[in-house]
Amino acid sequence: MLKIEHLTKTFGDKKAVDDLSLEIGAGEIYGFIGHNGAGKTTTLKSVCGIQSFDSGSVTLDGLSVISDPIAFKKQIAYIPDNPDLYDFMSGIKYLNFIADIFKVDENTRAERIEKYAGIFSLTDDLAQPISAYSHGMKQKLAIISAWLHNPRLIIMDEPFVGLDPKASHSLKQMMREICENGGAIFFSTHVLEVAEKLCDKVAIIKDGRLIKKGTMDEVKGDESLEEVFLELEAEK
Amino acid sequence: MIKTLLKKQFSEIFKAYFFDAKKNKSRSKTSTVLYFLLFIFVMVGVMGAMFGALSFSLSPIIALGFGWLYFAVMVLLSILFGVFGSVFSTYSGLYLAKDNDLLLSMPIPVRAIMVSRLLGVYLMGLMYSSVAIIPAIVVYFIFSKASVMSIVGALLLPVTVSLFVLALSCIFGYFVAKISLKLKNKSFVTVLISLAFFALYYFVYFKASAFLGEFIKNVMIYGENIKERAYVVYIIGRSGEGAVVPLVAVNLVVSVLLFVTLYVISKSFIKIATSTAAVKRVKYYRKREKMHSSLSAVMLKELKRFTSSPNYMLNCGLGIVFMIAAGVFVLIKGGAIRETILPQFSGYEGLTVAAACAVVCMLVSMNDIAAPSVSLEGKTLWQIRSLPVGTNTILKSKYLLQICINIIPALFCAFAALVVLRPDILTAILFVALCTAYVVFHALYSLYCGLHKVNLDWTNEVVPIKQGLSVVFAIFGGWGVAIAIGALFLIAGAVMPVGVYLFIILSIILLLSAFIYRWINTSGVRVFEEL
Repeated sequence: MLKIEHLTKTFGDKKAVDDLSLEIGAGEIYGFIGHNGAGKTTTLKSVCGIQSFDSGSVTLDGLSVISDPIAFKKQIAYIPDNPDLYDFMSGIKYLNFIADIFKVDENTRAERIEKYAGIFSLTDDLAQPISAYSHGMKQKLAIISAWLHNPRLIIMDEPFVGLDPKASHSLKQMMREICENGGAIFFSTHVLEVAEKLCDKVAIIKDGRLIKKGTMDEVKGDESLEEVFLELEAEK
Repeated sequence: MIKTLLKKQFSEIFKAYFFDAKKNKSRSKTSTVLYFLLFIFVMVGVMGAMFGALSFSLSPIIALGFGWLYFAVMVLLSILFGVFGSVFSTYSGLYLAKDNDLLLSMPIPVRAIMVSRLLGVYLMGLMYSSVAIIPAIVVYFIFSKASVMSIVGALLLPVTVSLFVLALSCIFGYFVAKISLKLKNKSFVTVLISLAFFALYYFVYFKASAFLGEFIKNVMIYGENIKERAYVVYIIGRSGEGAVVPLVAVNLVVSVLLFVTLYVISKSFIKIATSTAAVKRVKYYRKREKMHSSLSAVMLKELKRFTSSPNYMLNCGLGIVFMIAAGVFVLIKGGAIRETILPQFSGYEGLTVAAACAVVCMLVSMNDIAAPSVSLEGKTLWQIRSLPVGTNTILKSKYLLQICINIIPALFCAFAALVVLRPDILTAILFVALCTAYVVFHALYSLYCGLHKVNLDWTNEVVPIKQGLSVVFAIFGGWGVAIAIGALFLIAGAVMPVGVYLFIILSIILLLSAFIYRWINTSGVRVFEEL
């Protein structure tokens, strides 16, 4: 489904992402882990077309993020690490704005808003301005907006930060649902326990270079993901 | 403790002079000195000279033995000016400071936080009130003999006035904070209050010279009336002259007032500063939402951005009010204009048409909504960039909004001018066409400026809206073009009729618009995508 080939991105002299290649298949939850500043966010932003990159290619079912960005973006949703949403809108106006952009018809959007806002107990707050939302509420709203158009691939940067335990649990279920319906999830996290339990595959990035990838069993073997990660981090 | 807080407070107040937020680095020494010199020039040179001139115009009443009245007037003016300069900083500096929560969580006495915050407010009040009262004192001693007590009175006056200003600012700030906790539609109310203030300001400005003349002519009568009916004003004026009892009384009253105010504020500070939920909780009820096209959705987002910010509306949309006001004024005074002003230009009718066109274009140039719109994406830029919307559509929404907002007031203003000027039908059509074309041109040009001078790293929206170079170029560039439209006819009018002139200018404006339109859709798209 998603194919990242030889992705390279530099900021000045620093290579933030160096020749990274990954492939994410339909039905997979793919975890992306690495230390702070390893290049996770840069990779995710490059993949979803927010940030340009120096070389390499990113395709989704053959659609290129460079040559056909609109068609590519119609198939995906992105949730950043810090949900800076349009504070001047109310929650419902924001969701309708996103639904308009993705051309979600009136009935479908109403159903999905009701369903996901219900799951995250956000229904009563949808008329409130986003500026009055807490960090967790903004994160929930960003998640609802990502699910509104039933995307093929959801890219998330630290999606569990700020969520309460119930919302985290709901999100995990929603991620699994997407995959069961033929979609895929690509997300970064520092919570290795979550990655270990949730992900089908995992990739570890260090200083912009991919140092290990594969199924969870291939990567961790008999050890815990945390042990593997710390060992890899300790290596020069 | 207070010393540490003051150091932090000072570094915030003067940060802009030492640090360039746009380039994210310290300013050079030359740049800092130039900024300070500019500030001193504006405050002392422009404002000081203005109040100095005012003091001189009032000086005849000193010679008439009404020194106390002179001081009373100047003290009231300096209080007004001082409060104007510091009242908004009391509210934002005291109650809206972003580090209130952090400081309140530390073992710092509330009193220390307040003192450090209020010092900034006091300095603002002192600066504004001094700019008015110090020239008044200097002028007083030019026209009056100095005595020990009059010098003491003069030295104490700026301090007394600034402390009174601080007390008033605190009281106003306290009430503004209380009201804003309950206010709905805050942005529109703020805009309305600001517009009312502008209207009052212009009214006072236009009436001031007539009032001063009347005041000086009848100073004896006014003086006696004030002494009889407003004895407090007399006492204030006498304290300025250095009369012992009024001097002591005024300073005592100001000290008590300040003490009581600070006491009340310190008691309610934590409650107000930590109140966040200003808006009434609105419960959501499911309702059918209408679908919009991508362009409409992005335009509605831009409109919402515009109407949700009083700063944005006041700084980039004030021309709308001016266009409507100018149109209404011209329609009401049309008869008088036709009878008194237009006959002065008999034989130069074309000039009045070109000048009217320039005025409409100048007013249109005041609305530069598209100029800061790119920078205003700020930290939310990821949002629009991650959505399946073409960059052309995003940019189109920005200039289209400016066109939509400008076009009706501009046409109203243009039609009002035509009603009075009554040119031939062809000239009238060209006049309307040129005004319309200019609205389109200026929207495209504003976005062009916005794309050239992008600043996404701001923490206060005032930076891109008010202080950004894109805004400066959009407004002043627009004014330059508008003035050229009027001024060039002074030369061209000798060789061609106004109709031909308008046609040529219209063609140039359309050509420039086409050029900028092409730039936006090619290079502009690239600029936006690389942000």
